[in-house]
This record gives sequence, structure tokens and C-alpha cells, in this order.
Amino acid sequence: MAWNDILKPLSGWKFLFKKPHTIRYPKEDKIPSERYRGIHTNMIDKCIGCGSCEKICMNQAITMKEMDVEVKEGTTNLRPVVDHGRCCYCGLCVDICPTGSLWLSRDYRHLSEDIDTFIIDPNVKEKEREGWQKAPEFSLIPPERGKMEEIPPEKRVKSFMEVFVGYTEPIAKEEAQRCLGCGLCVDACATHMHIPDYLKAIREGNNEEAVRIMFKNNPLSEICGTVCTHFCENVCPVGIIGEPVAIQWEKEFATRTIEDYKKIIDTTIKEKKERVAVVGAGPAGLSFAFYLRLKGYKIDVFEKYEKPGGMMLLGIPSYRLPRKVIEKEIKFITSTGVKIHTGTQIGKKKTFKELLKKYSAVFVATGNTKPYTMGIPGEEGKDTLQAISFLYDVNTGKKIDLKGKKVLVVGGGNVAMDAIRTSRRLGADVYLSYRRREVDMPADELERKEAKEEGIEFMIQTLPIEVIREKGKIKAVKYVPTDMDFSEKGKRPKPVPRMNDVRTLEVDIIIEAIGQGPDLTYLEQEFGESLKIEKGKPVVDKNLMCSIKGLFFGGDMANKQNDIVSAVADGRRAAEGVHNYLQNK
Amino acid sequence: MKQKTEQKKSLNQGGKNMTEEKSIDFFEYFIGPQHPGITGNFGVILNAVGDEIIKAQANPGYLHRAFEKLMEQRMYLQNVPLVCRICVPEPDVNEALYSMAIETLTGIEVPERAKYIRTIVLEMARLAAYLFYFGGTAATLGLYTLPNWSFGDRDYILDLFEELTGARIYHIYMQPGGVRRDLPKDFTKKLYSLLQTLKKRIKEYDGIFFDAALFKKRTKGVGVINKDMAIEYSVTGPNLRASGIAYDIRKDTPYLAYPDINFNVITENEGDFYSRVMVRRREFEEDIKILEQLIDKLPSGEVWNRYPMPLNWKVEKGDVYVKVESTKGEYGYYVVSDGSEKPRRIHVRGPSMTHGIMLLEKLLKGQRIADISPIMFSLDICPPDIDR
Ligand SMILES: Cc1cc2nc3c(=O)[nH]c(=O)nc-3n(C[C@H](O)[C@H](O)[C@H](O)COP(=O)(O)OP(=O)(O)OC[C@H]3O[C@@H](n4cnc5c(N)ncnc54)[C@H](O)[C@@H]3O)c2cc1C
Ligand code: SF4
Ligand code: SF4
Repeated sequence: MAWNDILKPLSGWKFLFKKPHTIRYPKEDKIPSERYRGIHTNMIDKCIGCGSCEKICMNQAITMKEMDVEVKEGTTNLRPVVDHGRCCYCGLCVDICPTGSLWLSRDYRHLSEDIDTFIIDPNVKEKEREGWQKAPEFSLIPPERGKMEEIPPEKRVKSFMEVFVGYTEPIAKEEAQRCLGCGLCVDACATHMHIPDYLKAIREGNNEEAVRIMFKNNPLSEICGTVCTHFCENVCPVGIIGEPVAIQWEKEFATRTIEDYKKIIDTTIKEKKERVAVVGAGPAGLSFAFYLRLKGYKIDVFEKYEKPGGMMLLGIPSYRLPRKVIEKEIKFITSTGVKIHTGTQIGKKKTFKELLKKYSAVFVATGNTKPYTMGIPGEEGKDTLQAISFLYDVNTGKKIDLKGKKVLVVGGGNVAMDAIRTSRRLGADVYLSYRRREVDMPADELERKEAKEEGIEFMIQTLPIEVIREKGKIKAVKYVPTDMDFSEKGKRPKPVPRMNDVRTLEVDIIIEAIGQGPDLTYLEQEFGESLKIEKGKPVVDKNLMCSIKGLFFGGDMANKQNDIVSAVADGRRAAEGVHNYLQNK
Repeated sequence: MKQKTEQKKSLNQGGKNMTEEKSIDFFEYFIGPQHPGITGNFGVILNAVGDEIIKAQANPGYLHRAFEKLMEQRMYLQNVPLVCRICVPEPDVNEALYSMAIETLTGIEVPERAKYIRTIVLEMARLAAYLFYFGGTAATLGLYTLPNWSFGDRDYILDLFEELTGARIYHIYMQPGGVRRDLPKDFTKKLYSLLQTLKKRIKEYDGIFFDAALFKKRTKGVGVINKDMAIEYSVTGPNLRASGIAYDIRKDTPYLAYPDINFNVITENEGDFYSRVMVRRREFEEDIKILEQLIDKLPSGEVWNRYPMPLNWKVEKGDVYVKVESTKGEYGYYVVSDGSEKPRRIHVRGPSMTHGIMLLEKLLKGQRIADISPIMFSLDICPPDIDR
């Protein structure tokens, strides 16, 4: 022990007169760091009420409460409320929040004797008190969906083979893991399929259960898995972080693992004596027939064409929807005892009135058959085609050769996409004219991408104004560019043609794909004034019954959405409607 | 303090010299669970004759929050905010271990930069824990200047933690696959400058404490653990190295960025209180060197490889034991997964179980009452890791 060791501790005295280096609270305040994890704040208008924050919190500190907010599509009126007596300020809720509306602020003080004040409503209008907040690359939601293999464009334009290869089991399971289980998609789906439930079954490897869940709401699940307009995916909050969960492809995967639906779905039927007729074997008619048959009614479906399927068969090309898929689902529907009488057009030999007499109720779903036209000079002629007739011809096996031909398709919806890609497969050089911006196109983004890959030229913001003919044959099209008018708030921009900038494009064939509506002439002839019609569509109540007792309408001819899943939803709803009607008659 | 003369008989049955010394009063003392001389909420029941302890019985359980059982009820990610709570002074080892275990089970790779960042966090936590230890140990000897200094200096590390992780104590920063955010701007610069300050400070600590006669007098030769005893009692970490055994998990089975770092395994030979403090005093400087190298070599790139969406995340079936070197000794996690979204079983091997119960009970026997707290502090016991 040295003397030094006794004296050294005195060295501490040298600090006696130094300035203190700690914070002199309360004169000085501690400023929390930028990433500080303090009291919650949530932007009420940005939050969609998905409840993911509530699910991830292991302390059950978050409760979703109903609030007075505007409920837009893909949102709920629920918002988080946080019990700070339970919160451990981990910020997992922030890292899973898909919208980034929720963050932990730099405030950390709350003193009160009243424990109720620790339950804090974090919802605010303006961004404030930033702290720990969303960092996209650290989001707990994987942004990318499972890769879908597809046939390369060079190969696929040469035939009508299906473009997508479909998910494999491991990819499907992994993809199903991305589901937050919020159920916002269920509301967005026209037929309200229980998506989170079947995704759960898929990730657990129980595809049979998944398919059983699907068929509760949709007997054309495989068809929808293949070509649905998937509004569910549009609202999926995972899509805010990256790509939405591939709900449609998951459905396709699960249904395709099942060879025969009959083996896994219980279709035992308790027969009833009433008979119900269906006109039109499209998705609306088929779904109606299926669900009403399961309730025990005897069903006769009358179809004009020689095969059932409607626009799925006559409109949608086979490279998107293989025919065996349609056949498989229709076979299952008929296996329940639904009778389909093909080649029977109602309104000609057999009338609607006769059906109404013979059957307890009649469901009509004859679709949209009347195409709209542009109405420009020179339009009329054999070489100006209507997309739905053109696709009908191709799909019913008519030989059409477009090799070396220049084809201009006008339109921007999914029918236009089918027309351009079908023309391309038949050997044509294809141009697409659309009068608004590409983002305004109703056509699916993926389809647009694929069409471009296949070498189709998109003439965006153009409007044909005249068709030039020589000896009756189309020679060229005159068109003008358009400008966008955004003045009408909340609506799609209006195209304004630049009439002083006329250009010409040499073409051989024009295909119009600017929409179609229902043809109600037969019905009007038969029922006259007693059938109420508004904006070209029959007026129906919530059960889909029209002004004539026992006559129900659904599908394209009655709804606005004009897609398969809405037709299915109508069919299912009308089945309930007819059942209620007949039970209470 | 409670006089227990009436119980003498029954207690004496197992005692040795007690039976003869009937003239001296026998006392039972309760030290803890609320006592400034106790590390955390923990207790020791002492039987003493006069000033001499004849029996010490550890009395844990006051911090039992059923961590291990709770973890079985939670989804894998939900345990990340929980595990750090198992050791207050050095929470980060828990985060590292939990993540490492899941990474081994799932095969998720950790990016190089994340490995370095994790090592930086672990080493910063070591420094902070040692500052806590120095202050606490000095306080048990009645030397209150050091805790005032070292707790203040520790706050600078906590400031940096707050910048990096958003919290001062429970960082909840490491997650399977990496870390939750990249380093904030100028972080390494700030850390480097803090290290230079700490280097100076430790020399100043020497003056008032480590070199002080009072400290040496009170600690040399007290609470000796010799080599054999250290091995017999499964002593690990600095306590083991103080008994002359050069074993350090960072060196012997290196993990994270440790394989790339040069450092010495510090040992002392006496195995007494003094050696235990001095091993840590010298390691403090070694840890600063490690941090300087980590800053120097820090690679760029990603800091996280993602796991599946946590609400649906199932971890592959299997079991694994992972271990790291903490300032308290070997810290390990044994994790069993049955392939579901929640762990089947997690066992936490904290060093304090051996040090704070078996070893402490043995060491305290024959000591004086005034040395109980210092000896306990010298072992650096962290009661929550006993009460998992
Ligand atoms: C080219 C094209 C592509 C499309 N792509 C998609 C897509 O990818 N995804 C999607 O969801 N939707 C798509 N649609 C829309 C979808 O096909 C329709 O919304 C859906 O088929 C409508 O179903 P529906 O049952 O109302 O009528 P339809 O499918 O049109 O079926 C009506 C049926 O009634 C029959 N019929 C008509 N009149 C009579 C009568 N008088 N007597 C007896 N039978 C009659 C018709 O022959 C037809 O079979 C597409 C449509 C077209 C034209
Ligand atoms: S910060 Fe953590 S504990 Fe608090 S509400 Fe969010 S998830 Fe729950
Ligand atoms: S996770 Fe985000 S968007 Fe969803 S409810 Fe919570 S705060 Fe709102």
C-alpha cells in the first residue's frame, strides 16, 4: 500500500468548481431523440382502421373503437385507442401499420391521479410531435408478392396457350402469409368471399378447406381465380406498402389442386317441388342455379348458344381463361341436378311470359349484347368490327386470319385488351387508341404491361375522328391528340380533342371496344310498360325482383360493375331473393 | 433483525460450533428484497452469530414475471419487446440471443452490417453495465463519489442508445434477421468521441476508487473463489476470469462481429473481491478498443433480412441453444419450436442463477455482515434472470 493510494482520491476535489454536465431539470428540459418512442399519435384520416396495430400488440394496449369518420372504400370506422398503462412503447404497432398513420411521438410525460386518463385517444388531424415512425424498408409487411411465372411474350403471341403458369404450393403458402387478416377485402368483393379464412387454410396446407370456404360464396371460384377483376386486391392494405396480397392467384392455386369438387363439397339436397327457370347460362345464371338448387328447387336453365358459359366462353379469350376451367365448374354445377337447355333462345319461340306461367319464378341474366359505336364519319362497313362480335367469332371457332393486317382497336377497358391481344395472336400489327391517360384506363395494369410486351403500340390520349375509305375499304383513320380537363373535382378527367392537330394512321381494320349495354327489346315487346326500365336497365329491388312479380334480373344487364364476380354475387343474392319470395308467397 | 433465541435448538441441530456457544445471541437477518445494498429485488436470509455469518440462504422470486411461460403464449415477434426485460442493467444480450436462436432455427441470415451494429450495441451495453457495476460496488463500500460519476457517464451511453433505438433502457432494437433501423446520422462519430471521453474518465476513476487504499484494503482477500471452486460452481464471465481462467465466449466460440476483432481476454489470479472488480476495470478499456475497431471496420449495406409477416409467422420445428458473453457471465437461450407461430418452450440460462444462489450462499458463509453487500455486488448478480 503506497502513500499515493491514500492521497490519490483527493484528486476528485478538482471537479468541485467545474460546471455540472448533467441536465438541470426543471430549469432545463430533456429533448427526446428523433426516434424516441413516446406516446402514440395517429392521423385519423390516413388510418384505414385495419386493426393490424391491435393484432400485433402483445400487451393488448390497443383497442379498436368506432369513431365518427367518413368510411371510404377499403376503410372502416374503427380507430385505435391506446391504454398507456399497458403499452411498453415497443413500436411494433408502428412498424406493422401499413398506412404509416400511426407513430410514437417524442412526448413521454403524462401525470395524473386518474387512471382513466391513461387510456389515450391518439387520433389527430395534423401530423405532429414526430418520433418513431414508419420506415418503409423496415415495415413488418413483406412488400413483394410471390413470383408468378409466365410464358415469355415471343412464345405466347404465337398461340392461345394460357399466359400464367400458376403458383406452386410453397409460393402459395408463403404468399398467404402476407395476409394481415383485416378483412377489408371481404367488403370490397362483390360476393364477399371469406378471403382471410381461405388464405389461412392455404398457408396451413389445407387446400380442400380453402376451396370449401370459397364455394360458400362463389361457385365459379376457379374462373374468378383466373380472370377476376379483383377489387379485393385494390383495397388490400398490403398494397400500400408494396404489392397487395395475390388473392386472385391464391384462389386459382387452391382450386386447381382439386380435381373434382364433388368429392370435397357437400351437395346433399332436400328436394322441393317448386321449379324455377333461368334465362342465360352466364356466371349470373349459373351461380343462381347452383345456390337455388342447393336449397332444393328444380332448376331449368335456358341458353341461346350451344354451350353454357356466357361471356366467359364467348368473350374472354382462352389464353386468359382455358376452356377446361369453365367446363370443370359448370360440370360441378350440373352435377347437383341443374338442367341446362342449350340452343334455346327465350323471346323467340319460347316467351318469357310462358316461362313465368310454367315456373314459380324466373331469373333473367342475358348479359350485355348491344355494343356502343363511335358514330364518326366513314365508320360503317364490314371491316369495322365490334369487339364482342369479333371475340365471339374467334371463340366460336370461326377462322380469321389477320396476318400482315394493320388493326386499330379503340377503347381502354378489358374488352379492348382482349381485342388487341387476340388480334396480335392472329398475326396483326396492332394499335390501341385511348382518349384519356394510361392511368385512367379501366384495363388491368398487368394486362397493359403484357399487351405492351407482346408488341402492341399504345396511342394514349388520342381520339379517332374519321375513317377514310377507298372503294368501300378502310384506308386510314384520322385522329387528334387530346388534352386533359381536370376541372370537375372527384371525377375522371375529361378528354378535350385538339381539333387543329389532325393526324392519320394507315390501317386495314378497326375494332371498336368502347362498351356495351343490354338488349331489352324482347322483354319490352312482351311486357311493355309494366316492366320498369331506367338508364337502359330493368329496375330491381334488393331481392333483384323487377316490377313484375316472380321475374328477377341479375348480371351485366342489371348491375353497374359488369364483371363476373358481380354477376356471381347477383346470382347468389337472387337465389336468396327467390327463396324468400317463394317461401312468403 | 429478529432475536430468535427460542429457536436456537431446532436451528442448532444442523449447526456446528453453535451448540457450544450458547452465550452468544443468534440472529436471523433479512437483507432485501428492499435494501439499497441489494442488487435489485432480491433477498438473502442470514443466520449470524455476532458479526459472523454461519448460514446464508438466497431468497429470490420477487421479480418473477413468468417470462419463460409468457413467451410460450406469444407470437415470435411479440417476444422481442419482452426478452430485454429479463436483465435491466444489460438488456441487449437477451435481444441478441433471442434473435440468434430464431435465426438458427429458420436459417435467416443476418447482413454483415447488422452483425456489426449488433456487436456495437452489445459492447455499448457492456460499458453501460460496467459503469453501473463500478458505481454500485463502490457504494456498497460507502464510497459514494464513484456512483455519482459513473451513473452520470452511463447516461451519455444511454443518450446514444436513445438516438439509435428510440429508448434509453429497453432498446427493443434487435430483431430476427438484423436490427430495426440503420444507424442515425453521425452516430459512429458521436460514439467515437464518447469513447475518448470514457478513456479519460476511467483514469479519473482510478484516482478516486480503483487505486484508492480504502478500496484495496476492503477488498483484497475477501470472498475468494479459487480455480477449482470456480469450475465446481460453474462460474462464468468476469467472475471466472478473476479466478485466473481465461475463458470468454466472445473469444472461444465467437459470434456476430467478434471473429473480426482483436482483443485480449483479461484475467486476474486471486479470485477475490479485488480481482473481480479489477478484471472488469481492465475489460472496460478493452471494450472501448473493441468498439473503436467496430467503428473502423463497420461495413455498409443492408441491416435487416426480413422474416415472414409476423402475424402468420411459423418458425421451423427444432431446438437450439445459443450463448453469448454478458458482463455477468454466460447468458444462453434454449429455444424449442414445434413448428407453430408460438415457441413451445424457451429456457433462459442466466448467469445469476449460479452466481446469485449456489455460489453466493457458499461465499457468504463465514463472512462479516458488512461484507455481504460488497460481495454480492462484486459477483454482479442480476436477479430478474434468476426469476425468469
Ligand atoms: C371480352 C370480354 C372480356 C371480359 N373479361 C372479363 C374479365 O377478365 N373478368 C371479369 O370479371 N369479367 C370480364 N368480362 C365481363 C364478364 O364476362 C361479364 O360481366 C359476365 O360474363 C356477365 O355475366 P352475365 O351472366 O350477366 O351475362 P353473360 O355472361 O353475358 O351471359 C349471358 C348469357 O345469356 C345468353 N342469352 C342471351 N340472351 C338470351 C336469350 N334471349 N335466351 C337465352 N339465353 C340468352 C347468352 O348467350 C349468354 O350465354 C368480360 C367481358 C367481355 C365481353
Ligand atoms: S408500442 Fe408496443 S406495446 Fe405499445 S401499443 Fe404499440 S405494440 Fe402495443
Ligand atoms: S395499423 Fe395503422 S391503419 Fe391500421 S388501424 Fe392501426 S393505425 Fe390504422
